[in-house]
Amino acid sequence: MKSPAASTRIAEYALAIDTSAGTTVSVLSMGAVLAELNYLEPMTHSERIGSAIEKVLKDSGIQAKQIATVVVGVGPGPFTGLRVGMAAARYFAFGAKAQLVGVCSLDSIALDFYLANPEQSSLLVTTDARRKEVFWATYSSVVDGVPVRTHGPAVNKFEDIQTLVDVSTMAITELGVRAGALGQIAFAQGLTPQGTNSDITPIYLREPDAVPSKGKKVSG
Amino acid sequence: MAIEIRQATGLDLPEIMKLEIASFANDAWPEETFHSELDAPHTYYILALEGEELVGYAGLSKLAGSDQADIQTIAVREDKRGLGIGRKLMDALTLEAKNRDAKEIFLEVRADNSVAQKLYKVFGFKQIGTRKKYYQPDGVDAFIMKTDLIGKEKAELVVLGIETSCDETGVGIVRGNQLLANIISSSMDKHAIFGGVVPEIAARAHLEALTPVLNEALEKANLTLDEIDAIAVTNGPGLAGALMVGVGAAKALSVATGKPIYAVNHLVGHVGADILDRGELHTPTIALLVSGGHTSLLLVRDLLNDVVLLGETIDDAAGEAFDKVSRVLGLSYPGGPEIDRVAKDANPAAIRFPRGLTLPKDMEKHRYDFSFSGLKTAVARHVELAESKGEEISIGDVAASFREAVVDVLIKKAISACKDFDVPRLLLGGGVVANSRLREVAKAQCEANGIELRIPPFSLCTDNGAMIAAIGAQLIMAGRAPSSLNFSAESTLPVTIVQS
Amino acid sequence: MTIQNTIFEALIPTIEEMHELGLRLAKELKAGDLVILIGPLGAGKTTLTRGVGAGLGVEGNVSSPTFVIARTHKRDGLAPLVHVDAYRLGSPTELDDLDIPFASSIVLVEWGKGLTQDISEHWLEVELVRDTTGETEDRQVKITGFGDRWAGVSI
Repeated sequence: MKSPAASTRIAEYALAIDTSAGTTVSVLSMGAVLAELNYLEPMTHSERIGSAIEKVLKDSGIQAKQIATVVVGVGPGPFTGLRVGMAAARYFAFGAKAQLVGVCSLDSIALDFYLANPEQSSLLVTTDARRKEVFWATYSSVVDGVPVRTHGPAVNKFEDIQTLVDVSTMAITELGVRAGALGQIAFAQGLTPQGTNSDITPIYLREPDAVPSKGKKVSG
Repeated sequence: MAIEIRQATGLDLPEIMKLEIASFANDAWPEETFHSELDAPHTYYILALEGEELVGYAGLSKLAGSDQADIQTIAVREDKRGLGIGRKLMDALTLEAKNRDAKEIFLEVRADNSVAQKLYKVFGFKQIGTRKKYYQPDGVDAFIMKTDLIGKEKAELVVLGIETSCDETGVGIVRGNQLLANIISSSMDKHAIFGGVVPEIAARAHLEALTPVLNEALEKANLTLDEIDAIAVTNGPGLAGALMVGVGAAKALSVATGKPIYAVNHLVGHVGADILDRGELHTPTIALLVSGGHTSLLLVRDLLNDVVLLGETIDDAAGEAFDKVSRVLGLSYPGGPEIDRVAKDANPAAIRFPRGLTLPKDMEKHRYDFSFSGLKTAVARHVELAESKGEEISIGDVAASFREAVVDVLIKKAISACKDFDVPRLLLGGGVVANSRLREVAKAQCEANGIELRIPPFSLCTDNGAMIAAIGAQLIMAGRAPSSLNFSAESTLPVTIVQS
Repeated sequence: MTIQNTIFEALIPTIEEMHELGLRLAKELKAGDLVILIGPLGAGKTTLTRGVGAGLGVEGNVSSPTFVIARTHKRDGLAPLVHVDAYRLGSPTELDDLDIPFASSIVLVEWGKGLTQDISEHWLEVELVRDTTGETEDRQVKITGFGDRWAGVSI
């Protein structure tokens, strides 16, 4: 059996950031939450992110330079807010010389749900995607601290989800994203053979159409 | 190859003399003079070496017990100029002067040696007097220049500037008024940043460009992040979503490194760009900032304390007008270079297009404001009319006439502002400064009106991080406290707010 | 099927009257309203928006945000005006990317046709048509209200 790659193992202290909905940050030690802050308002990420990171570090008693891993929620979520957290994660990792790993934001909701409802099996997680649609993903269970995703993330009208997967037996949740949960998932992933996810590309889901707008408009 | 600085000894004299004679001709010191200089107890002479080769030297004099030091000489081999060797030598001399407890440094420089004067100005030297016909037999005046070493520490602080207000991701690094690096995402190899897939949406591109551009800037400046003393970031005006990416990143960098952060106004940044070219900003000055997103006329009496928006566009920005007219004429994007291309050798007087907000009634309420929407419509109508009549139009003449109308209004109003406020200086900034006709007319009109024109190099005129770093450095040198971490991205930040 | 109601239709002969129409339109607007401006280059979209801005009493100069794409003009304690110029946008996704808080703002989108589906249950479409014969400066303006909100309203 392949042992975990050394570089993916989460070293002592981690900072988790997610701005896919509100602004949530957490400092963890070996996968255990030392401090966490959650701001639910969806529109103030760029105002809050700096002081949120500063405060959660202070609350945890850990200094910035001790952070060896930054865990960032990669979405899906409304774009501008999501990018603020991801930009902050990139530059924090640069400044603290930490490794940067990504976790799907919906996974943190699944983890929290399973921790509160350990007897549940299949689960549908949804979050608001505007335009009368939702971001969603389905899960079957949690294995060794990592939610097992069976479908998604994707974006659809809620009514259309049942044409894609059988949601009849699924629990449905709309809990919020929590940075502590993201950090716990990343730590658990680090202990597995696959390791953590070094792909930090945001999950946008809605891609713009192929033709760029330059060269089009004279009237309309 | 790396340049090494070491102290000179008598053994170096022959090589020094070769360079002395080559550099100073009639002003060259005789060998015996140089020999005494090297031997004297109160002097400090250094060499710049590239491998074994002597590429420059400089000397300082400081008498024990005196507060004052003098730069005796500085020379860089002709083929090695423009590579920062002069600055390295000045750095070393300044440091030595401080170590010897000097509080002021003096020097004399030939009035016709503008290259040396520029170098000195970057190090804070100002002219305090003139010695007429000092340099004989050439009969050239000597400028006496001086700088204070107290407060010099702040001028050595290294500031990193981050700019993401519109389409460009820019990271720049400065040391006081000295430019160390200026990296802009659009001039980087796209494949290097994006791995071949360029995000269609500019704001997404900012996220991906942040780290590569920062890396490149540090490499260019030959610094590590630890050597940065402060961070500056644009927090407005501009596109909120784009601004937020830079703001979020800069705040996180500040917390991660413990370095203070300064939130800076983008438009004031454009004015500050001149500091990196010239070493200082001469005020008061009128500033005309013309880009895709802004067309503004500013009165700058004091860069940090007194910047007034005299006027701006009430509809389209000038750069935008170029793009839209370019499209009307069936040309591609961006419009500026395309219009320039077809307007070459065409007739700018072929069609008299309207000059927005120049009528007497407008000059009262909108004296320094601009309007290009009517002009844009006039061009569109001109083309439509000709098409509906089946007439041929000369794209070149239309482009040239349109461009003339834009430039005419921009420069006329800028000159008016200079005269009305009795300010004999005009600074241009923003991407549209690339337009050749704008520069041409600006030069001619300024000359005709006795106004000094400043146009920084293009890389400092477009949106860039170095100008933001420069404002940060100015704020630090002025003793301003850093910003708190709670500032927000403001898409309509007024020019009166230099730091948030 | 969304209710459709013509709330205004007339010939506007001058820039001043376009501005004035904006002032009148502003009186009808509140948080959550979405206004889409449709018309070619030079039709008067920005002029109308300036009138709306003036009528709403917004901070900051209302000028064309083509390059910056969107500008938020605050109003003391009231819903801000978000002035969007979708000229450079090619798809609804790019508009989404701006993350505009539609419910708490008054949003005005130039060149917005085709990009705003499903953002709101109700919206206004302002069509501006310019006389292309070159004879006059007239603009033909038609404002249509979509959704229950605009039923029975006229300016």
